[in-house]
Amino acid sequence: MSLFVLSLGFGLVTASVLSVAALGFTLQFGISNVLNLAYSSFMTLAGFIAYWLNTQGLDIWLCLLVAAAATAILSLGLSRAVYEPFIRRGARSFEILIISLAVGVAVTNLLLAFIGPSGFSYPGVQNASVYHFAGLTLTSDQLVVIAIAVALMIGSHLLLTSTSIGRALRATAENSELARACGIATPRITRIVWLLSGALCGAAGVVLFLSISSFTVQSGQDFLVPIVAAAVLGGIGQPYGAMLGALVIGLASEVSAAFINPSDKEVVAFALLVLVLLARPQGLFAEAAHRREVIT
Amino acid sequence: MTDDQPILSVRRVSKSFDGVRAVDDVSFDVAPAAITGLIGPNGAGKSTVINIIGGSLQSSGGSVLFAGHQEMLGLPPYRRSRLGLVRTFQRSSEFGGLTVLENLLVAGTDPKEVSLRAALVRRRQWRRDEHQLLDHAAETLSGFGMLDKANDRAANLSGGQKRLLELGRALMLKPRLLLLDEPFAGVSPVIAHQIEIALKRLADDGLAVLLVEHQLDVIGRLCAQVVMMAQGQVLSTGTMEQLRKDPEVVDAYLAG
Amino acid sequence: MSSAAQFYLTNILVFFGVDLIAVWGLNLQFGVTGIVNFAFIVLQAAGAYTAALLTLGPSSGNGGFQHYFGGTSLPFPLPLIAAGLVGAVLSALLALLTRRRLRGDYAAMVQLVVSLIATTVAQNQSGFLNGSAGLALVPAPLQSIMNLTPLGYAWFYVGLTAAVCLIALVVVRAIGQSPLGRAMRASRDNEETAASIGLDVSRIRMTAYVVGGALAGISGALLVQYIGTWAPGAWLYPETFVYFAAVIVGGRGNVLGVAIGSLLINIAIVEVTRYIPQFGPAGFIDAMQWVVIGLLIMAFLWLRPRGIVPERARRYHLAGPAGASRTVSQQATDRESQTS
Repeated sequence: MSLFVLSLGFGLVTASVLSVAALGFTLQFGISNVLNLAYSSFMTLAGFIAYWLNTQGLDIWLCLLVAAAATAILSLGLSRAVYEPFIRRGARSFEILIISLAVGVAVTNLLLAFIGPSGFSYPGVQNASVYHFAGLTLTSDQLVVIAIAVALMIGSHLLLTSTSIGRALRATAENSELARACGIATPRITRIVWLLSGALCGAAGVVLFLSISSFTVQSGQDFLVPIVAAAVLGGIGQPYGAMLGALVIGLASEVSAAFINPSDKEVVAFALLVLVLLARPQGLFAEAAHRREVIT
Repeated sequence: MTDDQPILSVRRVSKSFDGVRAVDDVSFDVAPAAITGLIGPNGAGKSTVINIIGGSLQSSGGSVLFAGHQEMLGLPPYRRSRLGLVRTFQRSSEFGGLTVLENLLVAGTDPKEVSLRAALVRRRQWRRDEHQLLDHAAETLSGFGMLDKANDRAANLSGGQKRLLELGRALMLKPRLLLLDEPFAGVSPVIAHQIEIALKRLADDGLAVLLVEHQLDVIGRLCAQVVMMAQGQVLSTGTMEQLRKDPEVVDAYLAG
Repeated sequence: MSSAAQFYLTNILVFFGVDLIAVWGLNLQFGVTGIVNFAFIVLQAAGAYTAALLTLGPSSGNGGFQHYFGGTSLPFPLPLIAAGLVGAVLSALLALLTRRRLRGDYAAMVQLVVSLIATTVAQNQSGFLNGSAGLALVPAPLQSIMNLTPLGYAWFYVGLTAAVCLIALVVVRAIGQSPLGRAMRASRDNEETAASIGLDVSRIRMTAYVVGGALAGISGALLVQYIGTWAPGAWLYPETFVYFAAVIVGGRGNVLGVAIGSLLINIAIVEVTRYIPQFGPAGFIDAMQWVVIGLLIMAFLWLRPRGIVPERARRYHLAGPAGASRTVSQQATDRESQTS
């Protein structure tokens, strides 16, 4: 029983990182209809930007802000310089997928080429106190990670409900095909969404690196499939769906690891994604109206 | 099958999209060796009906009986074409990467020769058949005055030429019933005239045609019988003359 | 030529031959029929594992340090044929998996994840295929029968690979020029229209999956019996990406184009750079290979999507007006399109 609860703790941490990441991912998906497989490599990039700043003596939370801002701008650049031109040209969806994969592979390997394969940790962060409650055991860093994730979720909720951008995003979530057809995805809205989601991507990257004891240039890649799984589970462009999907995936993979071979836990997320794509590609929480967009 | 039996009997087909009845309990007949028109204002459900008959959409209930005995509903589109029910599309549908001639050849090839076995071990057979197909294809192209374009990439044709190609390709299948979805849309008068003449000749030779079209003068010239739809239902059938005088028909066009 | 240089050359030639067979298989699927198979590398791996398991003998042999299932010692060419069959069957299963009409990128995601699951399972299940260490000491075909020096055997294997390549080429060209090949291209260009002219698109696609899968499996078998080892690290999901690069850059849809693409990507970029002296941080060149491949894919999809050698049309010579006898000859001419 305690193993279950322990893994629940891990699950919460994983789910926290996943929810921030999946939220950004699904927003990009909703506004541009693109599965951005370069997302996790940008997370890694952000994590290392923060690392470099941290080694220069900058406080880790400032590093997170700067890295998130940098990733926001880079993501916007990616969308405008790479995805939009191809979409305007009428490239097919799997061609865009190949391109996003190409960008991801290029970025990850650029990092690998210059940084190398070794593991790092943030110098300005010490693995301080450990807390026990309700049978869970979490370090202070992990608690902070969960806190950041919760804060970002609340912030996103406020954004979605009180701003015009939020309204546009919710309309897109309701029926992205219709929203795009109605011209909701104006250039301005699209730009803002990519900036916001890029910032979330960056934050997720730093938060991911905070939650594991040592990170490498490949650490982001390991998260790509769980992120896509969480986003698809929640439905294209559905912000609340992505958060819920992240909880499901995060908990499911960690808890199942307690009962099966731990090295198989990644397979759980993989298998879940395949199942969702085959059985209910519009996600668990989407309405039937979405069906037309996922089935040709 | 007797001469006066309809080549196609559509009975009580329906189709809804998200609660909207695009096609509502539609029934009509298509006569053999004649051109039947299908007209109606925008949103009447004409394209949906064609899609149901052609097989790309499912009908909820009803039946589509071909040549007196073959039920079409439930058959995939490729089976319907092989049985002689061939459709064309409203938007451009040429095989862009193939040449004009190849577009025709791929339609006219015997399905049995489109197989791995034929490719690997029956080469002499399909090469021999291909010679005959080439004759047929060249004749078709000559008929449309496009023989010089035979080896051009289909994507490079003009809009009107693509229409002619589509028609020629459908004919390579030796159809018994041709479903034409707005073949004259966006086509130059010269090419439109060519298509008209070709259709008249084909009908005289025994081909049945179901023609969806907005230009009512063309319908008047070509169609012996016309089915008029509005808001998903069949409003009236008859000759173009009769329909023009029907007050319901006139209303539907003015309102829709 | 020195012995070392000859070994280097035989390596390059065998690898090129293996890549040619694989890339012709992928081209049949992606270039000619227009289906996306992001799990392609799994098919090559399956062929390699099949050939290995069928030649290694029981797992207790060789000191028993490898743990795998099955294991017999079949003579050449049975393992090769079996590998082709396994590739074909697995490919057919992949086809069934994505038969539901998912949008293109979702289907590709499914295949990508299947590829990921396959490597993870192979790595973790240690009794299955010896886990992440993989299989080693795979015997080379006919080596005990022929009394050749190592270099002599290497050249023999080059000849063997060339022979299998030739067979693959004949098969792929026969398909490409036949009515089936034409039908495959039609279903690539416009699936709905293809159905409307009587083509059974699912059966056509299944054929492409099966033949492409068989070729992939055979390429894997040839490779593993030359290098003698096979581990999950050799077939991670990005490897499919490398083959796709070869098809996209070289020229999809035609045999020559993808051969050139394979020469450029698989050989020039991957193999030859392996032998450049390392500079920069460790693994710099290996990592930069991927960067270059990624950039090449993007550049070609933007600037020259048809590839270095575009697909060529079959031109038919129709002599004389209707009624006169016709001669038919084919002159393949480069098809430069006015619309890029």
